[in-house]
Amino acid sequence: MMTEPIPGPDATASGSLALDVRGLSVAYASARGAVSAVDDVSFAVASAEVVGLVGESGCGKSTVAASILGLLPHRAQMRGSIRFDGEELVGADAERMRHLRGNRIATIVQDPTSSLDPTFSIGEQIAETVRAHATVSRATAKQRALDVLAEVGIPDPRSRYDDPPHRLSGGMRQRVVIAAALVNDPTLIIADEPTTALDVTIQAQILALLLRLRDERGTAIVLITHDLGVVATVCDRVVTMYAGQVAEQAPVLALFAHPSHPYTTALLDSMPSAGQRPGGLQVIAGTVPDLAGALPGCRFAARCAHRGPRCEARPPLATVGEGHDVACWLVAGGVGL
Amino acid sequence: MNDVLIEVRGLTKQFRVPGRGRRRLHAVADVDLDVRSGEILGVVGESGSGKTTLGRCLLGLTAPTSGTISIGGQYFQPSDPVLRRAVQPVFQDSFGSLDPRWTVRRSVREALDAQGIGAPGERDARVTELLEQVGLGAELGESRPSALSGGQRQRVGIAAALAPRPKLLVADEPVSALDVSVQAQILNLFAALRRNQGVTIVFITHDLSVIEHLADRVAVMYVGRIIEVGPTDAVFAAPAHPYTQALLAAAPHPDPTRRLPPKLLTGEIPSPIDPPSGCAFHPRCPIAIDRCTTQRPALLQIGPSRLAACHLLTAVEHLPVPVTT
Repeated sequence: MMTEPIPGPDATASGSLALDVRGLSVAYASARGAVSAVDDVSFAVASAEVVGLVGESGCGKSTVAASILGLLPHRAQMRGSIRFDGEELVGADAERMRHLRGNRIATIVQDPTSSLDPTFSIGEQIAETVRAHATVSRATAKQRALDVLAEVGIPDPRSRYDDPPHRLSGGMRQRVVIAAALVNDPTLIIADEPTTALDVTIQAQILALLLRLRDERGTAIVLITHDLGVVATVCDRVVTMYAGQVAEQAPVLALFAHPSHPYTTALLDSMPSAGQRPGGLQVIAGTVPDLAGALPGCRFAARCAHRGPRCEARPPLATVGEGHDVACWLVAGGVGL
Repeated sequence: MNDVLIEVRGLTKQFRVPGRGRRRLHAVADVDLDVRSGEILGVVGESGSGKTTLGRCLLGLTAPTSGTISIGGQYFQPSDPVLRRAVQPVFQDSFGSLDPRWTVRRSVREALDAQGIGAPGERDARVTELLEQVGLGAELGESRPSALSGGQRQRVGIAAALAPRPKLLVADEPVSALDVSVQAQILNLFAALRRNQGVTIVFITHDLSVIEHLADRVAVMYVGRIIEVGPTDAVFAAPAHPYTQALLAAAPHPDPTRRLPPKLLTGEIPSPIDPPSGCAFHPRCPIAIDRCTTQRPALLQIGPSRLAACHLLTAVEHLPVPVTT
């Protein structure tokens, strides 16, 4: 068994890397010391690949997204490297990030209402996104907006173009947000809980839409979610995060068939399954550790049924299968000393 | 079969839509439903299905436009304090309405004091018992809400709901705001309350996996009406109504070998303000016939303990018969 961390997907085998995050750490100063929100996170996303970033509240998945988008608060201290299509984003100036956002890196958030301006028509907002990043005529921008609205399944876009967002249902608004994300043909989409607020039948439509766009345009997608059902349905690879660190990453089939980090296993076992068993659902005792101050060992150790003396040191990322890495002493030689 | 605890007959709730005209929102339309003593009945539906309004009617928080609800054979009058105590709510954020300055013990005690439950001298012991039932240790009793996790807060909400020894808990999305590992704890608590104390639970949620895990029977709602009812395992194994079939197919499963189904339900959930004529599902239904556009299907028995409202299903007159759907 190898214990050396290996890089993410092979860039030559699976097309070019749209995103390559290496050793990303984000800390905030606080009265109780530095809060380590994200610690040494590495993963990569190839073009036309959907990578799920999964974990519970406070695991750092949204902080990773904000880091990629250059939207961290000023007081955040960021270290490591985020290469987007070969370009380093850590340390890039605000002007450059503004140029990339909404253009080559697009974002879709949970609540479509918050990313649409209630006073402008849905069509104008999308056309404005075109004109913010390219010198084109109003007529061209409008035509592109109409094309992309049709592409995401808005019926009769010409008649809906002048509608304000509130005239549309939640599912239709999310389609408009996706249209706005797509209109400049981004290389990468960061989708943060994009279907969490939607009904089940509408969620399925939106997930199918994201997959179709990935297939047709080769867009790379980082899907941030707490929903393991959504992960299993659409992701190619999965990164499980716990308390700011990567616990496990694997191709989706391997993660569900052979979860190897005790946290991933517990998370899968705590999902409601058909019927009740005598012992009930597995629960994870305890709470997420306070991320302020020094956290030298495995951050999951206090809640882990398998912990041993070795867990007081940080576990290395060990490889257990192709593209399947696990940060746990259990797979890196045992938890005993 | 257990006795029927709650009988809902012809329950209808309409809301007046602000603005001109006499438009009405048909939140709940002509619902008949039995809740059996000691069961967990799941009520599932998407936006506008009426599941929350149905729950509020059961709780006496919303007065029905027409129809009746009876509890243990007595007609439910929200003004009757005894009957009202018999049905208690658990909401998504049950503890949000309690005073942030009070300790957990005081908040639960308040639920007893306000409703005059038990002799004052015995209430402290009852609070201890309630906290124990919901898995909160004595030391947490001295905590204030801000010091509690989401799961602990929901346990306090459940303790307060249990205070008057209700016959029925109506839980509306009680685990939707919780992380999955915490959600598991609360689902285990509901299962234990039913098992150990025989509490009857109406569990309202949009989450099919929660229903499949917890509920004995499931009622599926669509645009204000119940369109299918049956034992959870039977309905999940072989959904009868085309909407139930589509809903179950669209739900994401934690199994990467099952990706999205090739044929997804198209179209939007209709507004309950102007619901479609006939069967409200007909504009989205893959097998609709002409009759579905004009005539509303009745909720009829289609198999043992199973009801569905669809013209294309054959009602059975005598039991037992095999389920042929």
